[in-house]
Amino acid sequence: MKKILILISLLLLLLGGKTFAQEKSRGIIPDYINLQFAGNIGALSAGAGYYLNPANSLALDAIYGFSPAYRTGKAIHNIVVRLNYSPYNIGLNDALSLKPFASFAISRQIADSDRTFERLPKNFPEGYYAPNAFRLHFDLGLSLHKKFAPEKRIRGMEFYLATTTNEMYVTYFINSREVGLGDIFSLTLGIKMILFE
Amino acid sequence: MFFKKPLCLLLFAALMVSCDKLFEFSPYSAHVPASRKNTTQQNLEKLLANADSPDFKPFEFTLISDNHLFYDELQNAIEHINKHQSAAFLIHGGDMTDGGLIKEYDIFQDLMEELETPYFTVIGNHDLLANGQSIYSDMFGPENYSFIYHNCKFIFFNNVVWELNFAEPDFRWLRNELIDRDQFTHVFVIAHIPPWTDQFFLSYFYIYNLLMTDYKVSLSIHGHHHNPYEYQNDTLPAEITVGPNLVIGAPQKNVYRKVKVLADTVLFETINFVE
Repeated sequence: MKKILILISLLLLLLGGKTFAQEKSRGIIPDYINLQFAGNIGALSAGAGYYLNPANSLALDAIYGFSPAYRTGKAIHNIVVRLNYSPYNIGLNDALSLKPFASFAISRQIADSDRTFERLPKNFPEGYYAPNAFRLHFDLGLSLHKKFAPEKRIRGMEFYLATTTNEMYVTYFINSREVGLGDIFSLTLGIKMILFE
Repeated sequence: MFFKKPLCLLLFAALMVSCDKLFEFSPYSAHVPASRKNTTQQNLEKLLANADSPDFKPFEFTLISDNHLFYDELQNAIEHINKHQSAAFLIHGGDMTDGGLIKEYDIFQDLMEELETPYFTVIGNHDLLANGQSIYSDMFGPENYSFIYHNCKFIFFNNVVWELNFAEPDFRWLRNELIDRDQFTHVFVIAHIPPWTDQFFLSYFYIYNLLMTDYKVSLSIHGHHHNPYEYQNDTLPAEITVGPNLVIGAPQKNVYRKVKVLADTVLFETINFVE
């Protein structure tokens, strides 16, 4: 758990350092912040991200998600690192565009008194269980991008809708003729506030 | 490049409309909707509604276990049982999930709904992973329970040790359930972990077997191991005579079991459902 936090902070610092070199006043202020509803990383999640290339088609997010006990039986916390890829920009008019995207994420989920582990506890024989604390998520989505006037502090807003699944659900799909695509995908909604482009 | 854009949108739209559960918050969710709760109680009501008298009369039941993620094999077993067996009910020996996730419990319950007889489960070590224990108790009911059918007692016992922080299984509860043994034609105990294997300390093994011997349990039924077999052990001290022990076997091995309960004996057979 601690190690992941350290890794995430290192990553943020690294990315921050990169941008700091370009714009003196920026520090580690991210390129965008986002807020998301559902998507198997919490009922609500908030995160920050950086664009990784000049075309802004690759981006990396660090996200914290939370689901209260009345939603999921137990309170569940999530720490997520997500890579987004949006290769196309379909212009609707000067300010609006549509961007299909695909994301790949890894999450560590922590529930109250659960039995999940990153590494097999010592009291089990080697290989008794595979670590079950991480999930790999795959998203396919569409975002509506609104560009603001260049003099505004906020460069733009994005509203996105995506379908998401994870590696375990894909296994169920493969292993059962009764489990269809509709059983393994669910929806997520989110907004992004873009600070730097 | 140009034709790919509409293709993306089309794929996206297709996925969008096909989502069954619109929003999901976590694969580790422990939330069980009301429509999926108390399965054991419902199955028991169904079973007892069909039982015409409380007196003993011969009957059959089927056994499956350890399906984990082998859903197609589980479904094949269920279809075979529906077609070829005339059992009163089915017992599942545990590990109905692989990681104790809500989706796995849901898929299991969906597949079991196809079964034409009532069914009863015992919790397995895999079912306890993540939030599985809390899901199990909501979805099925108590982990330790018993019922009586045609004057035979069926006792379901959670004997998982490692995943419950090495706590001793509730032998006191088991003994209390066995105390009225003499009233019944047969008594069956169903517990996921075979007492002679990895998870059970030797002391637990002794206690368990003493209970089985003292109370003349007709058959001690287990899961955990995926190959079906019967256990005999002649290396134990003389005071412990291991009664008939049955390991059910997994659908992954294309087998399930059938038990025929007669007044003076219990017969079991292994059925291979792939011809």
